Amino acid sequence: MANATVVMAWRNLWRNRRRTLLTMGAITFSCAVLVFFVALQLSSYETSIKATLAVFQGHLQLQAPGFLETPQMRESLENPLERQRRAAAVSGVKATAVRAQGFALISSATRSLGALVVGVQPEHEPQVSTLPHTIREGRFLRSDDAARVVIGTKLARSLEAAVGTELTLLGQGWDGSVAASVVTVVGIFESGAPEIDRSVVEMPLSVFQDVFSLGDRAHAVILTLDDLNTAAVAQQKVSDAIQDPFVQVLRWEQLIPGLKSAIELDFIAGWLFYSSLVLIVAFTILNTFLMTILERTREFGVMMALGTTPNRISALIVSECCLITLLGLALGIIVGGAVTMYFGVVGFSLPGAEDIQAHWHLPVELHTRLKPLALVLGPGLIVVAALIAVLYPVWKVRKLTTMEALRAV
Amino acid sequence: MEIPPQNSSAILFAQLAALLRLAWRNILRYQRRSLITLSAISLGIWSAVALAALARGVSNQLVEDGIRNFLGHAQVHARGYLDDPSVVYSFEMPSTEQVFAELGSDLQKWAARVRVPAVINSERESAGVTFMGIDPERERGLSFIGDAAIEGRALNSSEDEGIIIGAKLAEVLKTAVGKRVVVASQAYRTAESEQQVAQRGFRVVGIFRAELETIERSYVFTGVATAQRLLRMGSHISEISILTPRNRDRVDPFISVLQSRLPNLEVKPWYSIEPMLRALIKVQGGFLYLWFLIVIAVICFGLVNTLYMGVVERTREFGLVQSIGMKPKMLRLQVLIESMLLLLLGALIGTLFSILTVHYFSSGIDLASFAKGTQFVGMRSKIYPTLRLDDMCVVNGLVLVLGLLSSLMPALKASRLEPAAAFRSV
Repeated sequence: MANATVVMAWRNLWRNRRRTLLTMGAITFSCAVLVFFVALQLSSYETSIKATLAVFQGHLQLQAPGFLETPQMRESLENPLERQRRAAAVSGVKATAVRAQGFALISSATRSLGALVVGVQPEHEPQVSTLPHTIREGRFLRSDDAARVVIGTKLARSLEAAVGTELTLLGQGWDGSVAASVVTVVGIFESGAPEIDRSVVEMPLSVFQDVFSLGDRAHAVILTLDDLNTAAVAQQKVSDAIQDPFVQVLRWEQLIPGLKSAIELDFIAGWLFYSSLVLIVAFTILNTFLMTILERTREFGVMMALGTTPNRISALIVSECCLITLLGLALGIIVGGAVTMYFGVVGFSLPGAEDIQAHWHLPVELHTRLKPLALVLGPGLIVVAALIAVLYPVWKVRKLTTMEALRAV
Repeated sequence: MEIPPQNSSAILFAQLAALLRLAWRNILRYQRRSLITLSAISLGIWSAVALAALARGVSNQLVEDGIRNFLGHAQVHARGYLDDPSVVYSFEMPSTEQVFAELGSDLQKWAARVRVPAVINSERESAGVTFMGIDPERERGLSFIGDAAIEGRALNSSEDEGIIIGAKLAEVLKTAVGKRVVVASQAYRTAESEQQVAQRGFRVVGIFRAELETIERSYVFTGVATAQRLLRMGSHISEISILTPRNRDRVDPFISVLQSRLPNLEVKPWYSIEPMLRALIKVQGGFLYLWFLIVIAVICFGLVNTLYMGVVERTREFGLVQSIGMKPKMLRLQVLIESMLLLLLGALIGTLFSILTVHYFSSGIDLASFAKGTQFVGMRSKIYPTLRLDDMCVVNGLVLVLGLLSSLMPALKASRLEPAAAFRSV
């Protein structure tokens, strides 16, 4: 029985080729647009997150409980090396690095500016941050360095400093004492993030601990994972490995909550647009089928006179709708997927968006990756909308009586 | 009987008028079909224009906020200041004042400021900030601090020696109104013997609130004269910010005039100082136009369908009119006019609905649940949809042009129906 309905539905579709193709065209076009745009959005989020975290944040961080709220010298971590060792042993953790940080006044012979001084482990830092790899002049820190620092290009310019320049550092130590030191610039980096290039100074961790009277304390252990998507699981595992209520294990979403929220906002904004398109497609389907049943009233009358039940006719129409929709979606997914993969190879770039892309750490050419979500969300919504759209024409058909239908023109 | 030769354009006009009446009546006759087509067009236009207004509202707010957060429409600096906002790149105020007086009505508001990076210390904590010496009177209506909500008291003049800090900064520094803070910054040095860093204590007289936390965290204010004295600037200032009575996108002529009057200084418009704002608007505009195209393309698929079906439905009617002498060309024109009328009507209704929708949301859409996200991108948490005339024109224009193109084939079909065969068909 059902088979006959589907076969009839299929044949009905091709009775009026133009109408079917046009309706399919609308569905295919919107589906392709949705697949590509959603894939573009998702790819840009993934790229942006990875790139942003790679510069400085890392994927997970171990901190003292108060440090996130008030990132001040006193919120320090005891036994950082021990924690680092334990965290590194957890499966899924790719690299670890210990950092300490504090605010200080940096002066050259002619200029003075406030900056964030960060004590890093020269052997480990390059594995958790891209900053050491962006050295423009000179070199990054080495384990045997004493009072050496690397600074950002903008900071170097503002301080009128170059490789070899001596800078004075003045801040407040962990115990409240004055922290002062003279350091030599050994390298200048350009991370691309203006805030970092303008205000970050990196020095060896041991030197930092010495200058700021930290002893063997630090402020954070940075972790990068093999797979960012396993962050929640890894967070739990690391927490279990550390087993200390005075150490907090934080994911990037907690470290920079604004980024996740901004991404959610962007995604929802996108969906405002996409749903309007789905609405229009649904409307198109509604219109097409409405006009179709108006045209075929007599035909339905004949069918009903021959004994076809209203249910069978409803099933017929719904089948026609499903067939058109599924066919249109299949084509749309293929086209949308093809465009996405094309840009995956060639790279997608928006003219005039360089400033924005730099700000979000997006490369100039974004290589779009086909994500399962992109293939499912748009088409899925269209299927649901199409089924809802066809309800009204079906309802109209069910109201027909055989006599009225036969009398129609 | 001889028909006297008549003016051919008059004939054409009469024919068109007749077609118009026919077309209009046909639309009213086939109510269902017309309604279906109209609703598709209006829905498309309404959704496109309303969403565009939403998007524009967001970017517009970002730009306006940028301008209120000290950009103004234009800024004047010493050469080199924008690269390196140091006290070293400051300039003399008095001579500039006269130039401004000359410009008169082209200048709506202006204010001179001291603006340098500094370190602020409370009893417990320290932070890096931008230290601003302002004239509170002049900042009113120009930048946000002139009209900000302040707990405690606002600065009362450019001689004010108190300091105003943001609520978030007060929290970070663990300080409050009435307490003391110390501000240290690089001072102007005329002799090697002078200290490079100048610092002095300030009493916190007020705590301000701003839309963005970063603003509250980064800016501290005192009187211009106080700042000048601390940094040993004499009568030098760091920047002048200007507001013109014109549209913010039309400040170029003003900039060139001012720059020519101040050849030793740098006059820059807001979009050069903060190019990302303009980039955002451009990219958004590009996306919106692409979106309009997509939406209208989808509508056109449906439009061609409904027009075709409408034509086929009226096979007998077309057969009839052609058999009594209507030329195929006239019939094609009639169908085209019918579809144009539907397009125009649909466009009108859609546009009207979008205007109503935007008006309904004119008191703003609250994004409180995304507050963290909006703060991150520098947005406020309330959006005010903004209709733009050019967006509406582009959407309506696209609908009319693409709709017309879509109507060509169905119109052609209408005229191709053979009267006899059409009559015989059922």
